[in-house]
Amino acid sequence: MKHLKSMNKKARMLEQAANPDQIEEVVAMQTVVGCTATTDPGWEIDAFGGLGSLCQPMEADLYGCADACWWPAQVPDTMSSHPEWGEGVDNATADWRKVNGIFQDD
Amino acid sequence: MNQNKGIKTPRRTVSLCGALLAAGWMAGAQAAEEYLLTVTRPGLLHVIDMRTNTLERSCTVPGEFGSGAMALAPDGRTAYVLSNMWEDVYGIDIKTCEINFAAKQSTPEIKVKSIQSVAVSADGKELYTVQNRVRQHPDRLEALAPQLAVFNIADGLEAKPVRTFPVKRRITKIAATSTGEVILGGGDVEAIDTRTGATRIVTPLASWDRGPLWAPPDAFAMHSQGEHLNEYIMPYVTAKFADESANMETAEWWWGMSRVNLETAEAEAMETVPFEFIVFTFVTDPNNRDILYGAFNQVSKHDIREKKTLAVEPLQHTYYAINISGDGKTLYVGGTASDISIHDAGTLKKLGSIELPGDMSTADLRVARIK
Repeated sequence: MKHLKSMNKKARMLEQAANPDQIEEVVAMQTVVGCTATTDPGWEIDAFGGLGSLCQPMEADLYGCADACWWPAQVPDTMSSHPEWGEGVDNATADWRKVNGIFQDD
Repeated sequence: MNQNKGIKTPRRTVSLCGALLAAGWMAGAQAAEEYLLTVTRPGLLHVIDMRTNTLERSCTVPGEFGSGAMALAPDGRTAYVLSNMWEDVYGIDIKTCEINFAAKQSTPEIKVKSIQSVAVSADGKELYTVQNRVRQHPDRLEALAPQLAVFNIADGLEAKPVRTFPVKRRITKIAATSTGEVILGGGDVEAIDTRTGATRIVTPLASWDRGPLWAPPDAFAMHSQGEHLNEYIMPYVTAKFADESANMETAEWWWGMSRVNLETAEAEAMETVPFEFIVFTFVTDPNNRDILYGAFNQVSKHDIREKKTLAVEPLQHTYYAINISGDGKTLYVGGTASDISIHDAGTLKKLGSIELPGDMSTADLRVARIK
């Protein structure tokens, strides 16, 4: 960063965020919801190192993750960015094959 | 919305106070009309007659689906549903499907999301949300401070906030008390005076200080229930360490909860039962407040006085939300997919199911009692 000069407000904010002195202001969120980056395990392994406490089947949990923007990296975020993702597919357990992937526009 | 959550550190003595049973409510439990309410994709509020467990009507909820959280008018007649991608609240008459209230929270400049936070005052005159706001600049998004917004329900379809007060971040479900406060479920369970904005801690959770032998609680609540006893439950998980080495392997793991009496705004906080499996939502037995029922991948029955899990019945799939009939005999388990599972509260055995046309996802499962 020392070779770059911030030219606008957003760049200055990025520079501030990269300042190591700011690290202590970052705290773990107790309630993880709403497009929050989370390191919780996914649909792969539960808190006990097993499978019994995972949401089952994944299809039952699909909209619960998308609508709440629970895992915005794993599931399209229907709360803000991709509200149309589940259109016409109201029952994911029966029709999960009809939901499409999301591809970034170039 | 998988709940595998990290556990962290400590607090002081937990208080056990007042256990008031709503005797008057119980006496009238059999006489009142009871309706089970939930919301499914693509945007339908379903009204289910709990005498027959049949779908009586489905009302259109404006806007895109999300979230389906809802608060009830004190007379049980209107459901206030959070819709349109967690932004707007619509009041819907559950007998006629008429929309009698609308609070559209976002503006072209400021996007507002409410994370399950919707509540109605005890007198039915005001509606509360927690607004998580982002100003949309041409080149960036600016996160604004969250606030409690107060709406006059009498303002009808053009309701705008009449008062706002700053609140902390990460607040999910809220509930109004008869004392003029709103319970805020966030890092701690707090209460805010809806006239002055003054806040107080009801139950310290993230900020508890019970010493080095207790892990800080990991609290979580997305779904509202407790209308049958006028109470609010914030469950949490914690660990009691064998010594100050804080060894997770030898720790005792516990469920606990802050249970707020919404009539008095007083809370009891306690460890309830050993943490043996994930439970997403708890509800209290109206006939015995020492008995809790829980749901997630199983429906479960717990005695919090004896600190024992009494019974567990596996479910056919994951469900997020549980509720109970007014007489305490029947459990309803919903959320996630498109079916509500019905269980005998005594045995936990499945009695049947109610099929709905779409997934409930994050929607609440609430019981309206028409008075």
